Amino acid sequence: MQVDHQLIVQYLRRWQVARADELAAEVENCAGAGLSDQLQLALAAEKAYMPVSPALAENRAMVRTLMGYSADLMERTLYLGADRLPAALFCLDAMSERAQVMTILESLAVWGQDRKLPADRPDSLLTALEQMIPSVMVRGVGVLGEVLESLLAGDTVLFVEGLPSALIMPTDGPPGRQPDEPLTEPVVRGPKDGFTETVSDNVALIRRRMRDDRLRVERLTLGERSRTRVVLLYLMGIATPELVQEVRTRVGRIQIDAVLGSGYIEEMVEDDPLTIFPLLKVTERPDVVTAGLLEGKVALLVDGTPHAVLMPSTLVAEMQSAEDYYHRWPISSFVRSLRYLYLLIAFLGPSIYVAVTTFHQELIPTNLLITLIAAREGVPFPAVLEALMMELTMEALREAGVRLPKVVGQAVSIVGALVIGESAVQAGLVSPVMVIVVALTAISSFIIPLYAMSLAVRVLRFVLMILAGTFGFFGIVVGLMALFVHLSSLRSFGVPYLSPIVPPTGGDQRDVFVRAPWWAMRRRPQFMPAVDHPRGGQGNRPSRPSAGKRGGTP
Amino acid sequence: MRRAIALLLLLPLLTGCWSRRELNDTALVIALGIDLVEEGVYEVTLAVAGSGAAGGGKGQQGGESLPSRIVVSGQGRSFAGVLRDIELRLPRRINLTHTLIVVVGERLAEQGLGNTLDFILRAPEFRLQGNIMMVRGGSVRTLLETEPIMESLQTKALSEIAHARVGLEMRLWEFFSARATTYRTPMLPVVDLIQNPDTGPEGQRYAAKLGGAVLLRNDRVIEYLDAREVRAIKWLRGHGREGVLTVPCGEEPGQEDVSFHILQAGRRIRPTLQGGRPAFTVSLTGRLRVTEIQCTRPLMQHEVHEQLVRRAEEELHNLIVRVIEKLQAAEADPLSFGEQVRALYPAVWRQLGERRWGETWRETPVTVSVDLRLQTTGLMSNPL
Repeated sequence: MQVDHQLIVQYLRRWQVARADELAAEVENCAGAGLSDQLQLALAAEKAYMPVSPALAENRAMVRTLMGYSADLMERTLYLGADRLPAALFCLDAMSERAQVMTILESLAVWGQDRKLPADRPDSLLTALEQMIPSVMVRGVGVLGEVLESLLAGDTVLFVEGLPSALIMPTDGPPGRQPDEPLTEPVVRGPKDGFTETVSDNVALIRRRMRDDRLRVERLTLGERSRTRVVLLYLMGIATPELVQEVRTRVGRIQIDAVLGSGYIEEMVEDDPLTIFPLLKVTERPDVVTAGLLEGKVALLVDGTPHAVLMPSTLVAEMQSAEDYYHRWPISSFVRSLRYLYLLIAFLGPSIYVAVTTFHQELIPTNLLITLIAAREGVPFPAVLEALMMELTMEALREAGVRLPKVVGQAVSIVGALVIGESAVQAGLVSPVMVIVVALTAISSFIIPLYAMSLAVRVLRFVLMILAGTFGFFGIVVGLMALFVHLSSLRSFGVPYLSPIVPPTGGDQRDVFVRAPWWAMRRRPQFMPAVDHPRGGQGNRPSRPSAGKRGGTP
Repeated sequence: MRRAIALLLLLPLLTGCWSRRELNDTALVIALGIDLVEEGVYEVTLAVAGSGAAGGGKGQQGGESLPSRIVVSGQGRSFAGVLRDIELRLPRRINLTHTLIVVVGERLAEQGLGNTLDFILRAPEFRLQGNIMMVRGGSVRTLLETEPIMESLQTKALSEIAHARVGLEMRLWEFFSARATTYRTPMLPVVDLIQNPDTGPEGQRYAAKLGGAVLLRNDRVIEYLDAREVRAIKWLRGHGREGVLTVPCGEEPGQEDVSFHILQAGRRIRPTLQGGRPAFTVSLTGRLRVTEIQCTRPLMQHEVHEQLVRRAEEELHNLIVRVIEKLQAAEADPLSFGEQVRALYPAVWRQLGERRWGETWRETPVTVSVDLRLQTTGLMSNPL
C-alpha cells in the first residue's frame, strides 16, 4: 500500500498538471492510510486526462488504485524477450475469456523468450510486440481512462516498461447464453433463434442473415456509469441518411447514468412521450430486425438486452408476426385478418357486452337476450362493475402468471382461473356469460403478436369499459373517435403511425390486412422514407410449365 | 392527446337517448295481446320472459327455477293506462323492445280495432318486425298461457310456426302499411285454439294452431279465409313454396290420391288495360316433386304423369280463381293488385279514384294461368 502511494505521487508529479500536483499532495497527506473516498473519486474524475506512464510500476499502481483494488482484477507480471523487459498483464476475471488470455500469455512469456526487443525505441517496441501477440486486434492506447474502459469491457491490457502506451487486446467474453428460441415471439415455421444479452452475438445473428457490406454497424456508448454498448444498424442505400442522422441525434442526446435495457432508450427517443402505444417495434427475433432493415428501418441493439428496437414503427407493423412471411400467403392473409378481428374483440369485447346488455337490449336477438337475462338472474352487480371486476382479476392472474416462479406459476394461474371462474359463477357473483366474454377477450389479447401492443390494448380496454358503462354505445363511439384522433396524430420518426392505412398508399395495401405473395411484393413499403424502393424482379411469378403450349395444339 | 381528452370531457354535455337498464331489472315482454272486454274497456295481456325460458341453461344453482314466462294482464280504457297499471304490479321495468308477437282478440277484431294499436306505432321501442295475428276460439290470455310443445316459450313457438311459412306470416309493418291505405286490405293471420291433440304438458286443454286469416276493412273483420284459401293467398304473395297439392291419382278420379310437394313457385301478376279499365293476368309457375302416391300407376310414363300434373294445375287454378272471386266479392284487395295499377297506369288510377278501388276491383277481370312441371318423382320412380 505504502509503495503504491509513493508510486501514485510519483506518477502524478510526472503528469505535471496543476490539478495533479494538488492530488499528489493529498495522496502524500494520507501517508500510510488508505485513500479517502473523495480522493478516489477525484482521481477517477481525472482518468480521461491521465497519460500512460513509461514507468511500469506507476501504471500498475494507478490501475490498481483506480480500480479500487477490485477483487476480480487479475494481474500477471512477466518479463519479455531476451532482455527480460518487465511487463504487466491486466484483465478482469470472467469478463475476459480465460483461454484467450492464456494464449496471449503463452506467446509472450514462452515463445518470445529469445526475441530481442528494441527496448529503447518505443515505436519499434510497439510494432515488435504487436507481431508477437496472437490476438485478432492489438491497439495501443495512451490514456488511462481508455485503458480502464477496455479493461471493464473484458479486454486484456498489457503495460510494458518504457512504453508510454498500453496494448489492448480484445478478449471479452463475459458470461452469456446461447441464442435460444424467442420466448415472447415463438413461431411454428421460421428461424428459432433469438437475441441474447450479448450485443456482439446479436450483431452476428443479423450479419449472418445479411451478408452485405452495405450493412452499417455503428457503436455508441451510453450511460455515464454503465458504459453500455449500443449498436446502431442500418442498410446504407436503403435507409435514408436523414433518418439515420435523426436516430443518431436522438440517441446521442441521451444523458443518463446507466442503460440497463432497450426500454430506457426507447422512451427517450420516441416522437410522442405521452402515448400508450408502442412507437418503436421491440423484437427478440433477428429475422424481424433484418426484415426491418430491408424496409429502410434503423435497428438499435443494446448490450444486456435480448430485445432489438426497430424504428420507425407503425401500428400495422405491430400487428405483424414474422411467421406471416414464412407461411403460404393465403394462410398468412387469413391469419392476419383474423388477428385484426380479434384485435377488435380484445379491444371492444367487454365494452360492447356492457353497452348492449345495459343500454341497447333491443340490439340483441330475442332468444339470446332471454338466455342472458336468465344468466344474469341474481347477479348483485351492474354489468359494468361485473366486467371491470372480472377483467381486473384476469389482468391480475396474467401478471401473477408472469411474476410467479416458473415452478408454481402455471399451477397458480390454473387454480386461480378455475377457482375464480367457476366459483364466482357458482356463488352467483358473476354471470357465466361474463366469464365467457372475459375469457374470449383474454385469448384475443394474446393473439396480438407483439407484447407491447397487447399491453396497450389491455389498458385502453378499461377506459372503453367505463365509457360503455356510463354512456353505452355512444360512449364507445366517442371513445373510439378520441382514439382515432390520437392515433392519427402519432408519428414514429416522422412516419404516420397509421400508415399505410392513413394516409393510404396504394402499393402498400398488399402487406396490411392481407399478405400478398412474395412475387407480388416487388417494392419496399412506400410510406417508409427509403432511398431505394424496388426489391424484386418482374418475373418472379411462377407459371405452370406447359400452360402456353396446351392451348395452341389442336 | 389533449384533443382526445377534450373530446371525452365534452361527452356528458351532449344529449342522446341513453339510460342504463340492467338486465336483471328488466321485464322482457315477448308477446302482447289486446282484447275487448266490454264497450270501451280493453284487456291488455303481456307475456314476460322468465328466467326459466333459457332452455338448457342451469340458470340458478338450487332453488326453484322460475317459470318460463309470466302472463300478466290488466284492464282499462287505454293501452298506456293499462301498461302503467301492470308496471305498478311488476317488480321490474317493462321492456317492449322484443315484442315478437302482437295478438288481437277475436272480439276486438269483430268490433273494430279502432286506435288500440296506435300505441304500437307511436312507442319508439316497438319494433315492427314482430308478427301480428288474431286468436280465435279462446281468449288472448288463454293463448299466451298455453304451454307450447318443443319450445320453452309460447310466443317463440308461435313466431317459429309463423316463420316456418306454412301459414300466413304478417309482420307488423306490413299490416300497418296496408292499414294506412284505402286500397290495400289488411289481413290478419288467425291462430286457432284447439283441443290439445298432442302430447303436451299435463292437463293442458288447448293447443295453438295457425289457421286461416281474416280480412279487415275499417278495422273490422269482413271476411274469413280458411287454411286452403290462405295457401292460395300465399302463392299469390310469392310464398308458394313448401306447400302440398293433392289430386286424385287414378285413371278416373277416385279415392286414391297423389300428393305433390312444391319445390319452386313463381307468380307473375301483370296489369293490362282493356278499354280503359284495368285487367289482370295472373300466371303461376311451379316445379313439383311427388311425395306420396297411393295408386300403382307407372309414373315414368309420359301420359300418366302429364295427366297427374294437369290435374294439379287444374286444382291450383280452381283454387286461385275461387279465392280471387271471393276477394272481389268482398271488395278486398290484400294482394296489392291496385298498387300495380297505380304504379303502371297512374292516369287510369287517378281517373278510377283510389278510394273507389274496391268497387273497381270487384268488376276487374282476372285471367289465371297455371303452369306446373314435375321435376322429380322422389327417390323412387314407379310405385311398387
